[in-house]
Amino acid sequence: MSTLSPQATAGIPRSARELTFGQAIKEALAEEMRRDPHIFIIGEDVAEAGTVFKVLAGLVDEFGRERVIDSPISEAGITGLGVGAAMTGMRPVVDLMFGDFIALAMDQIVNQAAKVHYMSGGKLHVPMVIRTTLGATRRSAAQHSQSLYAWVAHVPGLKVVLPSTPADAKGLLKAAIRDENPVLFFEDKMMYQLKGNVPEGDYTIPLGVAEIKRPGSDITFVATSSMVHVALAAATQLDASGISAEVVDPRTLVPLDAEALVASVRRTGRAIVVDEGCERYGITAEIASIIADGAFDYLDAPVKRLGALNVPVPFSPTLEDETVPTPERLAAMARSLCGRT
Amino acid sequence: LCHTYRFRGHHVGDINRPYRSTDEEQSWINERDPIGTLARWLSQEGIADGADLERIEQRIRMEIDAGLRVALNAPYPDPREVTTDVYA
Repeated sequence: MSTLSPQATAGIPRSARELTFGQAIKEALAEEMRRDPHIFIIGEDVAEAGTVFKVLAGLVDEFGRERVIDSPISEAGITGLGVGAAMTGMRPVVDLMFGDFIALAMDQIVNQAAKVHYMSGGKLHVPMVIRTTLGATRRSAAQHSQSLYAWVAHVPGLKVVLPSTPADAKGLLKAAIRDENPVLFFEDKMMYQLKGNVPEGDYTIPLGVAEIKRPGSDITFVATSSMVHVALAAATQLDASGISAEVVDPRTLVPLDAEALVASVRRTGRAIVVDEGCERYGITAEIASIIADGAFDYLDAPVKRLGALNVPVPFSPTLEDETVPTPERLAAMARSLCGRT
Repeated sequence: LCHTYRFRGHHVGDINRPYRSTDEEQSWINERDPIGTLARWLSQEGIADGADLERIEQRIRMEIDAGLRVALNAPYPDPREVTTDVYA
């Protein structure tokens, strides 16, 4: 995995140091918990174990077991507890170890958290963050590798965040914690060791603002989470073919910065939407539709999609590597779209 | 209510386990392993003697070793098999 491109932290004029993605997440949580005593963390193995990914290591030492709470293995239980706590004035950060496990908490997420504000006529709020993971190629097999954010992006009332860099992770997580709505925050577990410059101290990145991670003029790659790095690598490969690719990261799916995505494609005339969720009925379809609608008169080619293969994620490395978009496959698709083979 | 216990780490990389003591783990392994408990009960009831239990132990170990050898010696699957078995 590459380190941050200079564009990724543009517009944040602060002293920065290099942190991993996981360290940036922990820093955001620690700073927010110091700022607001209503914030607490609950999840499986979050305290002494610091989560299976070791992202929260040490937080229990500073904040104690009252605010970093090890829970029983019950995703529905802890998510429901979070909804209730949020409705009564707390600001819970619920840790669901693997994104696959949101399936166990879906009633609380979809029928409770997402609906409470609307059905109470705006009287009740659910300012809760659910931190969970996405992503394959960790050899974790079909039940620990899925990228399921399309499920929740479909449900009105929920916000969905997909950070791609350490700096974005910190600023977006702080914004998510301060948001008055339930926010699902998906971290690619393969990116926890990814390094990048992260500004010191307090800053937020508003939900609903895309960022151009790399400017280009011939084709736009709209890429999410770790696929931003796949798109950046593909763009570098395409330089040799004389194709200038722009990489745009929506950063949040809900709200979605449709204006920025459309504006990019109006400049470049071509677009590929690349994402690690299964391609079929995935978020690539929604984004491609928005681009086709908003940039129709500017398009030189059909809007294309590149998602994961429509299979359960296989355990065997030789099979798993076939399922996820790669820079090579994305670059080949881009050459074809630009009429170079 | 059925109380149970995970003898080892959450996964192969969970080697140091500061969240619980070695004594606690050892007491579960030595005193409360349900396989060991069953073996002791079978002996006490006179259903199986030490030789029977040793034979079962050896047979199971051979079966596991054989399975492990097959798995380690097997080639990786052909990438073209990736969509096999998604649907019946």
